Amino acid sequence: MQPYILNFAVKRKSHTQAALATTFDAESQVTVLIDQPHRPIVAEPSYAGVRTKKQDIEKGDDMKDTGPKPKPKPKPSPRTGLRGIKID
Amino acid sequence: MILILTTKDDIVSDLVVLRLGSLGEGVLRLNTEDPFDISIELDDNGQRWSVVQGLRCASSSDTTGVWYRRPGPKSLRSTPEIQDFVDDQWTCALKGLSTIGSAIWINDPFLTVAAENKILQLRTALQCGFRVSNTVITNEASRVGSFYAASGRQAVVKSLSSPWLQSSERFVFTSPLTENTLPGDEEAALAPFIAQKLLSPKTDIRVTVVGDTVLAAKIEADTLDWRLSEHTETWSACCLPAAVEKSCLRLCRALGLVFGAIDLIYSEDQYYFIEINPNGEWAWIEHQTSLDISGAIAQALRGSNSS
Repeated sequence: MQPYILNFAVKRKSHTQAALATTFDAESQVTVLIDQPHRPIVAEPSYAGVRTKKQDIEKGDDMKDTGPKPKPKPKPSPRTGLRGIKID
Repeated sequence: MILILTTKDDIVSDLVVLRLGSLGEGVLRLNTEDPFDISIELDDNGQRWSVVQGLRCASSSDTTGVWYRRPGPKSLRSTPEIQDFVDDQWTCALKGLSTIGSAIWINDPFLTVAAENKILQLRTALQCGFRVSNTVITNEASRVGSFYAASGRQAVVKSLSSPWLQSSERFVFTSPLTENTLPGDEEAALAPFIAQKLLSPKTDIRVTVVGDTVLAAKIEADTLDWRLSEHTETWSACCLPAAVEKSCLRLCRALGLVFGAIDLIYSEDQYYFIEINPNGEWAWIEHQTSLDISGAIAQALRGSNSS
């Protein structure tokens, strides 16, 4: 048995930009994309990581019997996470 | 000098760091992952403090503002017990800095903890002139049943404390209470929770208060909890009635917060207080609305925009 309110808990992907290749630049004190060190990253909504069923399937999360998946390469783009917020 | 306590991957901090840089302000962004990279010292029996990371240093004598953003756990290859112990020592030290010197803290970490309590929030919000949707907090299933009936079978439930379950990556969103989801006696008894009369139709409003600045944005979400929306809607800046703005400022001051992210609902020509997040996120609102939240935070840290 679990607390009643946990009946309403749903899966939520943690909201990090871990899929991006970043590094911290001590000179500017900001986090930058590795291949575009001049360009800081813009944050996305903290809740943007909430995945829909459709997104899960697209990401292959529901296809557990298909063997190991290739490790995704970091995206060297000025976009962030699922929301794809772009700065220019 | 401005001190920011956070981690390397906190990209929200970047926005404020850049604004401070454009103002010519010195910044030490203390990334807390690596204890070997940080030096902290409290001298004269705790009368002064200094922290050093890399080539940068901040001290109680030259720091005008501290942003207690999101200092995170240390990256250690150790047992959970040692990890927790190390993190506790660092948390104690960093929070303790707020008790020394005259810097503005966004926010005082001790007051943040107190302000996160939803019961205190509701009581304080009422005192500050907000309307609150009819609410009951209980672990009694029968009480929830009677509340549900009294609310015309239009009610929601939500967690009383943190809605986030770390290990299973699950989140408790505000959820509708229905005949089929009414609690059983034992599961209700395990932990108290909030039941609230449903406000519908509604507009969700996020009010970001920074010092004396009130920045409001709204969204017409198609979901009960806007955080569950498909993100096809966008936020837009909005104006609040003067009385509501005043209540927002009063609430933050009553809770001792320089910064507060307040969730309101506008329904049937009335504004209702939902909750306040003392360390809430805001970058996506700035991006979608151009509300200058990072600028307001930068100014507040410099002492030029705080109550």
